[in-house]
Amino acid sequence: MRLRPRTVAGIAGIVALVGGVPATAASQAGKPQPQYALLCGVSQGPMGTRGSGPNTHFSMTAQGGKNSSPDGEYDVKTQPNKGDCDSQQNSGGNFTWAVGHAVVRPNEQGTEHANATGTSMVISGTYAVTFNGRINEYDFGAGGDPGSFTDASGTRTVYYDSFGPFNTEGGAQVGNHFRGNYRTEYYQFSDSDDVAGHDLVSDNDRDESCPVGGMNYCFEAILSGQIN
Amino acid sequence: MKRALAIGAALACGLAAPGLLPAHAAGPTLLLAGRRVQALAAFGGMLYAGTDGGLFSAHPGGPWAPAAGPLANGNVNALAAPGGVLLAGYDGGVLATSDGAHWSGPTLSGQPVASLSAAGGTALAGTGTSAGGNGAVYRSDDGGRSWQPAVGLPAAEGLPGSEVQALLLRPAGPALAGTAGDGVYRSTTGAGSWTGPAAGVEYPWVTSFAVAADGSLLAGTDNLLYRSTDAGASWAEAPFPQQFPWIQALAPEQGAVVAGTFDGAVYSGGPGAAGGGAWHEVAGGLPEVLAVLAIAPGQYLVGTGDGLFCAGCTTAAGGRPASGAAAATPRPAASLPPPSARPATGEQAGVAPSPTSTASIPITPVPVSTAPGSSLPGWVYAVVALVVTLAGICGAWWLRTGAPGRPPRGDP
Repeated sequence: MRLRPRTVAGIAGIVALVGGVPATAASQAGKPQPQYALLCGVSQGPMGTRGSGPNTHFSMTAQGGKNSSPDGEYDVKTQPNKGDCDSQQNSGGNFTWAVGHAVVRPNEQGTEHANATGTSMVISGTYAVTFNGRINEYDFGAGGDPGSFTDASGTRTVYYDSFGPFNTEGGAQVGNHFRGNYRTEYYQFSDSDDVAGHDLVSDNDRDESCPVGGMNYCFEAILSGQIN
Repeated sequence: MKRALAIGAALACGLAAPGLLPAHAAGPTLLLAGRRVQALAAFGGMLYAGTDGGLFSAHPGGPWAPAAGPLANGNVNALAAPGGVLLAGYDGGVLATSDGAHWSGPTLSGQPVASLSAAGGTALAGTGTSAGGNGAVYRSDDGGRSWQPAVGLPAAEGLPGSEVQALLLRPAGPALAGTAGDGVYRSTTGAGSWTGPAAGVEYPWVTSFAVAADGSLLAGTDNLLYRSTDAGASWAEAPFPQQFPWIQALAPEQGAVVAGTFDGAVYSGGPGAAGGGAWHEVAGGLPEVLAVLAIAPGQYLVGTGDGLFCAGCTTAAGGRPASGAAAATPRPAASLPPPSARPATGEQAGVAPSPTSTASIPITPVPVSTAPGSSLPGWVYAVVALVVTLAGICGAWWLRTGAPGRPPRGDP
């Protein structure tokens, strides 16, 4: 079959156009792949609250185990959703998420600064992980209105919601730098089968760890980013 | 043939149209991707960027590249230039260079240096980590070769021990130290005897300082911008376009101050600036801004949590993109915004105020650039346009000369 010259010229142009159009970077070799983590833990809420003026300064710590998924924390293949921790078992304290300094304004919003530790938090296990972000809802202590802030899970009594970027301090030079965004929630939770905070069905242990009205709060952090 | 030529021309011209071929990017130009750019400086005719993956440098108009020397892989938190020396503060101390190639040190060995400031031949170094307890300030009058006090004991020197994230040293007047959560402290020498916290700083996470065009002092925090008219003894809220702004970086520019926010915006203005001191946005939509440096009128280097950008740059004043600058996709300014969240996100680091004032940098045109929203470097677009143009020319040539094996047109 012999192509007409006019047809060849048109095809050449189209091939050049299609082959060269940079529609997305997804086809680029070596593009960092999305990485996710779901951290489920327990916290006793804010500690060392100080300042009785218009601002509340506080710190708090959450500890917990990694996602019980066999994939592990940094190998979660799909974006975790809020509420995913409610079906997870706490598997021990191998991570700590510590807010060292935070300020909340009277509108229940503010800023937080701290870091996360735990050998499973970073692929290499050697780099500090920092997070500094916005507090979107703060309902601890007097004046709070827990439960007013709802999320997609719909079954939580939320006390604290925050979000921001997430970085490891170092690792960039060796391709072990995790960067992305985080979101946390401190909440209390009860299954429909719970009675007075006791999980009668034993379908998970988080509702016994932080029942509504108790002293402890469930902690959930969702990390979404990439490693480069 | 005319139709084929038209197709080729249309394809080539279409790709080269503004917006598809970003010969002059409308927004900030991405110069260095995948790095957290924590400090910026102009020194010895070069531009420097301290990142979590080492020190980078560029000749004005040249590409950004890793700087040679011991900081190739360090976590560089701060830069300052006292006299004829460039100091780089990193997690393990301070290194010094007079030519950008040969480094001496480290001094303050083992100390996590979070901030630097210089005036004349004197420099201050602030230390500390987010864990607290090791935040101190040291002074050097010999280009970083020695520091005072010899042994930093924060409490003994009057400091609270929290990380010293920001410093301000001026030719006259007390030095200022901005701490991570404990406010502003002052010292007449910068070598101890700190007093504070200064009155009026309700939000004590202090990130940055600058001297405004009217001589007053500005302090950036994670919830407000503060201003002092008494050399830092007391502070009051200063107007800013955002409500509860998270100011992460401040730097001087000619007749104004440039401010970078955690929400990914850059503003110019401040007390004493033209226009009654009003701030105006010069860039937005960036990742969290960690450092800013005015390099020419209306042109700024912007270090962010996810790359180095040049804002307002229609020239190569800020250097050209590093090789593979767009290989890693820049992280957007905000993510996971809940319905009631304010449009903001970002991050802090041990961020020092930009150490140098407006630099005198020669300006040369830049042929292609990369916009932050673009996923590929500008040269890729140029190559595509060239290929398409060649395809059109080839098609026309084919029609004019005929296919292989076919007698040229006009032959008997």
